[in-house]
Amino acid sequence: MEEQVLNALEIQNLCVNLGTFKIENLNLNIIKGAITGLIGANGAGKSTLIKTVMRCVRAESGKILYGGKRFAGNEKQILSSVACVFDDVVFSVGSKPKTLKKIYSSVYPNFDGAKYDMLVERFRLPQNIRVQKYSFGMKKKLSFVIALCQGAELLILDEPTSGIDPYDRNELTTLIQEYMLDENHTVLFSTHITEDLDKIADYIVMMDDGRITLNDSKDNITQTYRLVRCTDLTDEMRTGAIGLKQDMFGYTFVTKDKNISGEGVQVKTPTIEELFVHLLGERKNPAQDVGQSSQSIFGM
Amino acid sequence: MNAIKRQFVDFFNYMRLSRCGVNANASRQKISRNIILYILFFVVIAFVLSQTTSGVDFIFGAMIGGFLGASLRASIKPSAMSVAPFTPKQRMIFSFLSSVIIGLFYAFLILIVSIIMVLFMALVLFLITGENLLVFEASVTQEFYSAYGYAYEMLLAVFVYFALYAISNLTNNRARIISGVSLILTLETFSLIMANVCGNFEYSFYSFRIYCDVAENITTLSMPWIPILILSIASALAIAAAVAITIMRYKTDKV
Repeated sequence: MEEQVLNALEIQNLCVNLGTFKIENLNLNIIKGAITGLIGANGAGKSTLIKTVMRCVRAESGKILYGGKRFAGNEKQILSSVACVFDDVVFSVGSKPKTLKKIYSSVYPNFDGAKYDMLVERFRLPQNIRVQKYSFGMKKKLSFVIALCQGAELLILDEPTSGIDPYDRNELTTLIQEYMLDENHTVLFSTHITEDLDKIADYIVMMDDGRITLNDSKDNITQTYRLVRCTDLTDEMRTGAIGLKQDMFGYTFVTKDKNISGEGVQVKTPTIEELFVHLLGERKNPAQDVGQSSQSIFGM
Repeated sequence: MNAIKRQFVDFFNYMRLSRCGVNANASRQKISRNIILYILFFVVIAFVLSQTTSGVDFIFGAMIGGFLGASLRASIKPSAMSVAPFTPKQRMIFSFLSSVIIGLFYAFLILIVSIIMVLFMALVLFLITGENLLVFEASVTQEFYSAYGYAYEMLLAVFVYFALYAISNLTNNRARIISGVSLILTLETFSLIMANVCGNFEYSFYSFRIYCDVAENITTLSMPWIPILILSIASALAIAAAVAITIMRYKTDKV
């Protein structure tokens, strides 16, 4: 009996060296049938990781399995089943959308032309002008439409919603959810817009300086962490504080301690953005180093 | 669909998709910004290389343009081609062939334009001077070269330009140096060999006679064979290195 493949993507001990930036011994599994959100500061390595997975950047060592298969020897099959939206447009902007449809239909065996026409109209993209006349957001939307119509099982999106207006961003996330109605489909998308992750992600992966700092389901994360706001900080609070921030109103931090309470203490479940800000803040400015003074930068 | 037909279909698809790649947008911008330099470079190369019209450098020019074009495309990632479903072998062969075909297409266009230019200028000079300066020699070979020598060298110039453009777009400095050296060595070596073997050819076109005379003087010097042999070996090694770099770029890594 064929073993069921649970991971759409398995990355094992991946090492990438770009001279000024390195990824060392990175391990990551992308669960099949789920949406995984990838977040991190600028320069964390998200785009490098995506480009390495798409074979646009050479890795030094490690292993990447696509649905359990190695890339070597299965290039054609894998590239037919993986679609990617990069942070930059990769197709010729000298072409018109209807020309791109013809080209992609001939290259990708499962390309859905009818869906392409429907989505181009849905995003209000003019079909009879060259893509070079599109705005940045329109080019991004067209990139997404092309990727979605390729009939891929794994959709990788690098900042797909950046530069897109809120209405179409909502449309885009809705389309991702519709894409996921097929349980064989998987989405990995990197973004700075954490509201999108709050809305649709099943798993959250956080990257920092080429390393994975957090990799868990969104449910576990929301159950594990608490966002605390308080006016006074006790030593006990400071011990468990992650990404402690101080301003004129008091202190804010994230903690795994679920028993924090007291006067002037507010506890809630953090959003992905709040968690990201504090986890990243902990690396840059550890909680133990945050000063006692309540003076703000405005000298008040 | 049998395997051969499948390969033709894949190549056709690759050619169509290559409209989406090769840094198409940057190419247009570069050409439009540097149109004067482009024309001047074109003309200079045509004159400098007007030492022989053996055809060997034509073939090598096409091959060099081909693998440099392939190298160029391999270095542009991500692109629509780099993520399209082709095997590494297909990607390498198709990019080489499509680069040669694109080069031939532009060369053919330039050939037509050059012939028209030659005839037009002969007509203008005839109207001014009353003299027919378009000379056709007696023998078949010389007739061809005398009448179309300039256009023929323009063909080579297209490939040289294409090759140099490809070199300038390679992202790896080492690849650029090796490719550039191999191009120069190859063209110079075979030009010198053929000039010594085939003799000189005269361009019977008034405006360019001075340059042709200069070229003739250079190629009538008898060259000892040892330097030519050393240059030949060096150019062969340089080409081999450039081809090896191209192959490496298309090789799938083991990750």
